[in-house]
Amino acid sequence: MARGCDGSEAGARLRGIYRTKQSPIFLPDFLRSRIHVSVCALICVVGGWPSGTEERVIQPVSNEEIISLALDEIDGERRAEVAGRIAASPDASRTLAAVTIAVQTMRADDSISPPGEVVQRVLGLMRSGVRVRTSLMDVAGQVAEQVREFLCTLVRDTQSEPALAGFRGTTESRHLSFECEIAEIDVQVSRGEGEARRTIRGQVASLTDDTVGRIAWRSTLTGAAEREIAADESGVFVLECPVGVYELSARVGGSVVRIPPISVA
Amino acid sequence: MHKGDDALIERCLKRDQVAWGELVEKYKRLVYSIPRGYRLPDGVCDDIFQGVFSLLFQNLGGLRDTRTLAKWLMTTTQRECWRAAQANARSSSHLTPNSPMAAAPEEPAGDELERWERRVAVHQALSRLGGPCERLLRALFTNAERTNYSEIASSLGIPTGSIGPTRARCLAKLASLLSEPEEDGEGV
Repeated sequence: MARGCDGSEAGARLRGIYRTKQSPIFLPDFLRSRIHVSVCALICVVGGWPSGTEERVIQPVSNEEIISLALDEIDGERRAEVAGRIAASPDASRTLAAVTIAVQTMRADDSISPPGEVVQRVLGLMRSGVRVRTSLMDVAGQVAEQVREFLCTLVRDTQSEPALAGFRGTTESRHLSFECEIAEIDVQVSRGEGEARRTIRGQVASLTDDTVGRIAWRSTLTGAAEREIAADESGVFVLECPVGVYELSARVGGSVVRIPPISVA
Repeated sequence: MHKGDDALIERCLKRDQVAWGELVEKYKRLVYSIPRGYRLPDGVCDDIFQGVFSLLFQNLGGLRDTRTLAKWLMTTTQRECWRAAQANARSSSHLTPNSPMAAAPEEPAGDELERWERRVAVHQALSRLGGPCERLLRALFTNAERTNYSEIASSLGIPTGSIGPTRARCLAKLASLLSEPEEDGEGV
């Protein structure tokens, strides 16, 4: 009998060829066994595996084989054979490593996605700035496009300052200071009436000769309409609000100043 | 470190809502899972999540090294958790002397940070895959309660017999995206 006629060598080579998608003769299962027998018999007739085809012995690795190995779904000789072919291919080795890490990461992942409505509120942080600018510009009447806007930057936040030794907890108020070219804004947050309410004391101080006009306060989380704050002639104001994230805008002369959203917790 | 954070932050500073959405999507699990890990009440977890992203929003322009954004978020979130737990310590029972929140937070350990960065990368790649691939892989590997093939096939509306080949194709695409995270994914 010619070499390979007993189904061992020729059979193994053939199975390696039509097992993989990269093979030009990728076959469905129901055809595979019939054709296998026929081709094996043909190899016997012609006297063995044709010469000059030795490079076919090392077959490309299919995705299914890589995945099966990564998921530990094959064992024994088959595992060693697939592992050997993967090791011979840098591309397959990279894919195996990436799939292994991805699967391990997904299986060990106990992270939790936040509720959709909470995400929506956070997404609204950026949109909220546009709304404030628009409504305050409306106050300026028909010349809204001529109103200059200044975004004040945070220059001090007592919450992020290290507490002095022995002084931690002596006060529960938080003091934030913001500055921009034409104004300074101070905001002090302290506990209000009830566990979930806070008292906000602050001042919008003009750094120019312009007077401070309308001051507005709005929750960026609830998307509620902005609330006008009564202030004295020095721009000092007091208000109560639930815990949340808020922003403040104010008219200073013909301009609008505002602060980035602050977490009132 | 994640590729793309520099560009995302740059776009956020120009008030690009889409970029802000991508940044939130990328790190939402990281931020939300920390207070949940400390078993803080749902409302407190929501507040912390919102507060941390508000702080991020305020500080986007001041981030000196965007390569450490994940680390900044972890540290800030842990600090907010600790602060919330301290504030509620008198009236709640979820802070005990042995609780991890009983001590002030420290910087996240390197391996913890690395683990989170891998998770962020994988979730991001899954999102980029999208479509049936994303749904199948999440159902197969990130949902411990549903590992039955027929149940998954039924919920996804695909034949049970196609799960194996589809799984292989989708995992290969996921691996490709993880190797080249800047390339766009495509659905199946």
